[in-house]
Amino acid sequence: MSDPFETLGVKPGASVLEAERAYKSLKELYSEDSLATYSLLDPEQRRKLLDSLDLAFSRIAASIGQRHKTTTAIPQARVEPEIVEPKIEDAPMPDPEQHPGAYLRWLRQRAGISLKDISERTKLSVARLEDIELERLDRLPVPVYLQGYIAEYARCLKIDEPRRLIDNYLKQLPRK
Amino acid sequence: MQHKQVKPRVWAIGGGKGGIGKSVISINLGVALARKGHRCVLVDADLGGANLHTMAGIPNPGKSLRELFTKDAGNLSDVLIPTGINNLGLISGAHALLDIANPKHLLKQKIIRQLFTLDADVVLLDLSAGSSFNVLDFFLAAHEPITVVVPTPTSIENAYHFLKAAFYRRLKTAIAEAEVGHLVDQAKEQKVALGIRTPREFLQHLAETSPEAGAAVSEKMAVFRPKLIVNQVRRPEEIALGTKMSTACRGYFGVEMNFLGGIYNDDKVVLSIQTRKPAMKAYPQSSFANEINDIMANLLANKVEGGRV
Ligand SMILES: Nc1ncnc2c1ncn2[C@@H]1O[C@H](COP(=O)(O)OP(=O)(O)OP(=O)(O)O)[C@@H](O)[C@H]1O
Ligand SMILES: [Mg+2]
Repeated sequence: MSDPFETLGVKPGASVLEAERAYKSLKELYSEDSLATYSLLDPEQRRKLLDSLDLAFSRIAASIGQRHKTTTAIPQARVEPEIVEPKIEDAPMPDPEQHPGAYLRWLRQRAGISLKDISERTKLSVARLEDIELERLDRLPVPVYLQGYIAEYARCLKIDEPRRLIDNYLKQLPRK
Repeated sequence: MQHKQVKPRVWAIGGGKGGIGKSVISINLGVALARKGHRCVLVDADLGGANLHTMAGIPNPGKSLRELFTKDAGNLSDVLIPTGINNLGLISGAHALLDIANPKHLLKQKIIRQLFTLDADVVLLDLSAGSSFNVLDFFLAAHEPITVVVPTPTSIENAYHFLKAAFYRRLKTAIAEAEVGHLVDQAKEQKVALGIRTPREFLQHLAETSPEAGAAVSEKMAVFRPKLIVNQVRRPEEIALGTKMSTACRGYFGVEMNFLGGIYNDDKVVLSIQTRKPAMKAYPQSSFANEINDIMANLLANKVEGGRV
């Protein structure tokens, strides 16, 4: 099987966001109405190439959490006061199986990390992170992206097994 | 005056389709090189449709490739004529008739060999349209095989057809040279069963099943590095076609195809053909001239060995 980074034409170990950018632009390049490729590929070749892109991106997205398992988490307790978020240190732990988003939020708040911090680390917007935490399923991106986002987020919180959390999360999504 | 003879770099301009600006680009690149002090020989390899001499303002070239074909003797350098522009010579294809547009294999090989011995810094070949073996053999022999495309579906289709034909012709020689034909046949048989769809996948599969054969063939294919020019651009976003096609070629062939630059559609080009004076010479400060100069600079910067005699 070929190297997913090579398939997407990014450097080995590129961030999930770089991979996502490459993935999106290649999907467009190989789309059916792309002037640059429509006379290069027959439908079968096109389908295979698109499939290999999907596979490569989901492999990268899923591996990110694993690769960075041991990296340091965000330095704790920033001095700036949090304006929007009330302290809920004593709130009970949400069930990660049932509410993986709420679980992420709970972990984050206990660690005293703001959404803005996570946003800076992951380069995901605060709004996007909030959608993930609040499990606003209708606003979330398609699973291939979503799992990459969750992996990035989980990595900031030093979660050991992001795969499990990702799977739980994906289970919440309505079936097509 | 005698100067030290250096081996020239050979650039070939092809693209599969007619009327996409191969000759316009050839002559203007030639003038651009000459103006920068590089000694350049233009070769009108468009036998049967030769027109570089007219674009250069030489109504009757006197000598042309025709002599080599009809007499079946003599050397390329014997039919080299001056263009009136310092540092720029021309080997015309004028009056070469259609039946000699398909020269005998040996004669063709001889001409190709002699291209590399011309006394010049750059030998610039203007190829004819189409993807016939005669065009492909000149294209593949060049250090810099350059494909021209204009942003229309038909030109893009022809460019890919041309690149595929060139790729497979190169692959065939690579397989023969590496003496791995039998292993390649095996891989080919498994192709359908394994769902191998693109040349790149095929080479990957060959590398996995017969590592030595794969390495030998890949090494020979690595010297195949076509380049791309997008001509007659009308809207800025059409320039992006260059990078897109180059990415698609990497995905499909596993071949690096550098995008050299875009050239906008410019009325000065049409005018310069009417007045038979290369635009590069008549309008050296124009944006057309700048675009040609940029492409030339990109080509001069590339010293990676490609091509073969
Ligand atoms: N950048 C340009 N701007 C405006 N017109 C152009 C440009 N490039 C090419 N043309 C037009 O396209 C015509 C065909 O160009 P040219 O003769 O160079 O094509 P070609 O690819 O060599 O064709 P053939 O295969 O018939 O030899 C020119 O006469 C000119 O009118
Ligand atoms: Mg021409």
